[in-house]
Amino acid sequence: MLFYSFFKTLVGQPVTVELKNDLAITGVLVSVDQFLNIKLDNIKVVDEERYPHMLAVKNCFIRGSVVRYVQLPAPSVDTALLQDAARRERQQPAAGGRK
Amino acid sequence: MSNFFGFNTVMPGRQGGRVALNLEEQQELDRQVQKYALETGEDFEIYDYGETYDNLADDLEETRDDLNDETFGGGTDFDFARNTRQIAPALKKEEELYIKQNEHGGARRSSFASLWETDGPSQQDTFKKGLPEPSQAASSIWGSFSNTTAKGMELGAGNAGFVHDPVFGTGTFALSRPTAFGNNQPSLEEIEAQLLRTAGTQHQAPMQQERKMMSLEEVEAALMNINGGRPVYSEAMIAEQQAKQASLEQRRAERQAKQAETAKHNGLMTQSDKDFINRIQISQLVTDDPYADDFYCQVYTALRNRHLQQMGVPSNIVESESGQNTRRGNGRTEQRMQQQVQRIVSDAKRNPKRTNVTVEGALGKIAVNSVLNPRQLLQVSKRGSHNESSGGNSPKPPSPGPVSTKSHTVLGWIENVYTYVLALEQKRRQQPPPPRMGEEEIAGEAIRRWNEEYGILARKMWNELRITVPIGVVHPHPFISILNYSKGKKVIPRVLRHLLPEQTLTLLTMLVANFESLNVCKAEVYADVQGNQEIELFMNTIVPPLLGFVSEAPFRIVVGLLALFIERNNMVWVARSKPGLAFLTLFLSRAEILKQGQGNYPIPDEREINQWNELYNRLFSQLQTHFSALFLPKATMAEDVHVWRFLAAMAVGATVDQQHVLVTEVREQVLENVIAAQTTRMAPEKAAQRIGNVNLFLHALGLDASQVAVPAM
Repeated sequence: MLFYSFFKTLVGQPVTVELKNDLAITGVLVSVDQFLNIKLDNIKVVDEERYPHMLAVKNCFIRGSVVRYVQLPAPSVDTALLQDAARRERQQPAAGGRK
Repeated sequence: MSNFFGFNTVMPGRQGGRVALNLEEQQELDRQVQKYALETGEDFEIYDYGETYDNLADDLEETRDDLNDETFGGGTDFDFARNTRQIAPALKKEEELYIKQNEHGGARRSSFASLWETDGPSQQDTFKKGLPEPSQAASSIWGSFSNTTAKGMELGAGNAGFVHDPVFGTGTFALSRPTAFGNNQPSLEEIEAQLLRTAGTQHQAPMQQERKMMSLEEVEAALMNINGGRPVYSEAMIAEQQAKQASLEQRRAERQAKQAETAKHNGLMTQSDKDFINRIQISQLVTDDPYADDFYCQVYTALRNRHLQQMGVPSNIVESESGQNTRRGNGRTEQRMQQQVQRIVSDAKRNPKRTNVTVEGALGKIAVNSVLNPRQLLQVSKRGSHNESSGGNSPKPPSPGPVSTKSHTVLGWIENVYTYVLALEQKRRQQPPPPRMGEEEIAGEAIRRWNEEYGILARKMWNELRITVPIGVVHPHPFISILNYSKGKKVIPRVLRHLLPEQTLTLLTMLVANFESLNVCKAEVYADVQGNQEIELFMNTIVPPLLGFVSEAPFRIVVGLLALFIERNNMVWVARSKPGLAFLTLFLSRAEILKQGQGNYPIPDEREINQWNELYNRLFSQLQTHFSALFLPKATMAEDVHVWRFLAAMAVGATVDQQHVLVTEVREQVLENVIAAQTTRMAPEKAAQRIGNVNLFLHALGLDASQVAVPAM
């Protein structure tokens, strides 16, 4: 749930999603779900000359499994908190067993 | 739906069947609706079998169904396949009617009789035969018409003649002749919607036409005015008007066509269907403990909101308000969803370890994975050496004997400290509320238990810091090793919040006693960028909270700490580092404040003052002849502020002789700064900063930079 929790805080921020087919799409993150499917708005393909068919597309839904990287806006990421969240996540299986 | 793009799809023969609803028919319709209501006495939405219901279900066993909700998760709401099937035929009719009405702009009113005409016998037939395939409704929506038509022919053989209906062609057959479905009776709601829609189109269409007529007349009137009351119709003008009119007409038709196309999907899912889908989605994401499962988002939002509030931005208030509104909007759904989630959570608790099920007779296993328990792609053995090197999952109690200070061991300690700090912070959030009236007994118990748990965690964290390991067993001291990592430095402010004052004092004592071995004291760390970052981190994380502690400490403790500092460390060495100077300055200035009787403490007595003076003299004699070496050789002048501050703190407590020594030693630096500020081409603010730095020291001596005589160049 860490990644889901993390991406939720980025809703409304511009991100660049690099897909496994080398397409890179920049857009405003609209929503994300537990599979890390991503919805983007106001999209723009980074290499427009190579993918002219994407010129007309304004928004898109990206299946989580086809995402290779997501480029994040650095100011809206709290790395220290992310570390803590990762620590908590590591403790989670133990906590789940205890409950 | 290509059949209404500009073509008249209604043939004369077809029109005959559709007569306008007169008053009698309306009344008949109302009567029928009322009859249904009386007969069933039930909610139409769910039980719209209508009069075709043959009471077969009365023979069914009705008892022992109290656990149905548990089994199926929510009663009838869940059976959306049936719901959709029930309304599918009605939807088709609606669609047909709607399209037709739009097409003709309400010029001709369609009959409701068509809705009912074939329902009677055929419907009852099919209902008794059994339920039809639900896929038909779906397939007609997605446009595989030929298939549907074939089925329609099979099932509704009595209406076979309509297949060749030239009006609809074979393509729309299934849409226009929805005879083959079980529950064909449209529900009350749908009839109402139908009535409304029909009425709506009737009212709108003439008005639109009227307005268009008006506009044409207006144009004429305008023309008449221009031409002195005599209308002149130029051919071109009329043609232009007509073209405009035509294009408007076309655009309107296109828009309506588009609307009609999407309208066929209206009401495809009922509200409970949508709820059901929502619940599936949200039950995966909602947790009973958001701080455990949604930690980052929760804390990040809280931090950002606090930050915004500090800046005085009210946007978060707006945001939270809108959030509340949406929540209030579907409060019932939310509540039901929460109940659902609670049930899911309790189910998960009941059998927590089950990750896959082997069903008898099934090939392979059925995985029961969830978001919180995803399928593991990597199988890493717990006993692997890799696991040990990363610190180990189970924090071992620190052994008091010889401890190794290999990097991975230390990193493991730091991680364990973090673990306890996070647990303590979590405990803080779960702090029981202060007892209310009449509940002191229960609340007192809760608070006692909370204190106990908190105490245990705090003790564990304290042990993990290894501050109490005796000095000299290992070098460097384990606690200092922790501080030598940036991770370890960062955790200190968070640790201090959970420590008792005695523990903080112990920590400070241990730090002061082993100050030399801190890596930030080494001269070479100033050489590279990373070293400077470490120093910066030390100054930002460890110094401020301890400064806060020392600035409230009594004289006795300050004297003790400084004594220990001087005793255990090489002063010349330590004073050349920024953190070392910061601590020295801290002790000196605090002692000075207390000596002058400021703060809440009484003025120290004679013996303590003597003790202090002795200490000061020792420090001074150790640092003598090294004062000018405190300035970093390569550092720019603006970075020297901590040195000047230290010199000022020294100067305040110095005797006249000592002051003289001080001045003599740093004379060169003072002059250098003053000259640089006065003569060279330097930005005014930078010059002011330099003078300010020098004045820190000079003011402590009762002098000022303006008094410094600059030797002529």
